[in-house]
Amino acid sequence: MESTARGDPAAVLRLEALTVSFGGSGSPIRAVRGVDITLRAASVHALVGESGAGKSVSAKAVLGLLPRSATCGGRILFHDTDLLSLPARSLRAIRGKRIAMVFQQPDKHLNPTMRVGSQVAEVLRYHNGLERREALLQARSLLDMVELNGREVLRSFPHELSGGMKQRVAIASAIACRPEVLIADEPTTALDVTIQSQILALLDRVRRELGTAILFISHDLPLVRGFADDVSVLYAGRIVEQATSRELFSCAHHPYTDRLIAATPDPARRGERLAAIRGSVPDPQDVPAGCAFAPRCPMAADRCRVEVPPLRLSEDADGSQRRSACHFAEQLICGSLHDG
Amino acid sequence: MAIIELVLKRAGRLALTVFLISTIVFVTIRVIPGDPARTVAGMEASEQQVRAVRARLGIDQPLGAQYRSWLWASLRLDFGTSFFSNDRVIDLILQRFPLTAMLALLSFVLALLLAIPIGVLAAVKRWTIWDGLGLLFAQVGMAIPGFWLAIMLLLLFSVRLGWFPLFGAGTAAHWVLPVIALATERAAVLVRFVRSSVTEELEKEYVLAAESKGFSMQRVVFGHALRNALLPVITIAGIQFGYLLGGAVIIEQVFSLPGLGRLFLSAIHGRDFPVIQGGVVFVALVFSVTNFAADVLYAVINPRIRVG
Repeated sequence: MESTARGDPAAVLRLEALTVSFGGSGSPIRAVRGVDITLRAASVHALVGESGAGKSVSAKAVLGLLPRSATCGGRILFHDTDLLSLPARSLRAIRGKRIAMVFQQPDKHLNPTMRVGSQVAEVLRYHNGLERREALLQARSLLDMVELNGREVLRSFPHELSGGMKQRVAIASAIACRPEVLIADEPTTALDVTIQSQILALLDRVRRELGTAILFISHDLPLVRGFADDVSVLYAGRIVEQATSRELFSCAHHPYTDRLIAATPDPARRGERLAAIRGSVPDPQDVPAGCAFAPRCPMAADRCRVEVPPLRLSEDADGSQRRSACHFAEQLICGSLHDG
Repeated sequence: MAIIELVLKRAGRLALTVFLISTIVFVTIRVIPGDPARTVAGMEASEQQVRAVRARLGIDQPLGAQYRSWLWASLRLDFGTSFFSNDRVIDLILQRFPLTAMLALLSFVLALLLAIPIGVLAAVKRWTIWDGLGLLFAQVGMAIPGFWLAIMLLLLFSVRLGWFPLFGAGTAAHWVLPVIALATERAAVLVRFVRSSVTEELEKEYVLAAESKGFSMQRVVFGHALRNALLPVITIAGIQFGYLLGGAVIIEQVFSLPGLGRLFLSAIHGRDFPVIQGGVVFVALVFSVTNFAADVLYAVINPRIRVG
């Protein structure tokens, strides 16, 4: 195995120049066009973007869950192992045991005809070779851990539970083998707002107590504030900005991030018109040349329509660093675009 | 609660179905040409003798009166006696039913044993040679009439090779060819259902979630998808069982098996009204009861319907 000493030693999962395209040789749809992400141990890295930005596709690529029509490029390093070049059998031994996943719609991602307890226990029996009784016993304490009444819920069917409870069950089965990485693909999107924050708190507890690193996928930038350690903002299959959560929310270094933050209702700016980003996400089959965001960007110049801006380090006035894929990252002054 | 409601609803529908079918049969067999009294009395009998027989059999009564008395009697499961043998119709039927039921049941089991693995294989290996073979089996199996297959099987395995007895019943070997002949078409129909049902389930999100847990293909298919895919198949299989009863009537003819089929066919030839009527009502009852059993089974297995 090739040495990967250059990365962060605490990194558990690294996507390197990941590309994913769909369809045959004709005109493939390039859903992910070169994404680099480092997920550090016991941290939360949020992958944020509008639908179609390529965040779910990147997540599914990690576990090899993409349909056969997908072609992946680049590397997905789990410790020192490239998951993309791993044989299916070895990948299955990692899936669900060392890297687990929680999905968006809890009512669709649980088996409707299987009791909740069995669904959680199944993972333990399969990966850890536990006996049925022992597995059910552990399943019960896992259900307790995700703040359900294990004894009551164990014999329930999914349809007997609420959406939030089902998502807790999904989390319980995902963390059953104490995975090093948990991929959470919009786990709160289908839930009520009050339930959302409970699920986030639960995931945060999982991170703290089990030391699980979480790749958190969301279309909701404000949601990840205070929850994620690092944030990658994805646009049309590329990362446009990558920074620690604190830095990113203090001041955006990419017009897209800036507009996303501005599009969030702010109690301090009550009564004002909410900023919206004009236009819409480009068709993945017809991504504009140059910067993909240029057609919607208020500061786009001629250069932006020709030259793809690379993701590069940019420095703020206060010396904080982050990576931005904007030709004019340095000229972007915080809040400069916040005009009405 | 839900189960009781289902039972009542289905019982009502069953009663209506049997009533309608019995009425249709009652009218039909009296409309088509042929006079049972003439057959019973014999070709040389005088017009007077025939009239006497007609009076004895009760078919000289107005249609409405015949219908009413028959309907009342059949409500008590009294289908009358045969015009020819004076045996009670219900006895004639119950004597022969076990053989037909056995034939249908064995064929049903064989059809499922063929259809589930073939359908699952076709769905899992969709658009491959395995899928092609599965669909070919379905297509050919549905296109070949059961009686023709029965004759071909007889010609090859009994006449030419002598592996199986030519006709009759009694030993296990007697069952083999009739069961294969009867099961093939049903299996062919079920293959398509199993294939489409499994295909549909495999595309659902919970299957992806099961894959994300690192389960093997077999575990995902048999432990997760198949369980859900077979739910709709149960209902279809219940209906198929009814077809098997109908098919058995014909297959029994080919293999000279003394089942319901032979009883009904000779009854039709002789215009033996009570046997025809009683037979049709009986088959309709069995058909409805099996469908009903399938529905109840579905409700019991499917936790979304089951109420604890």
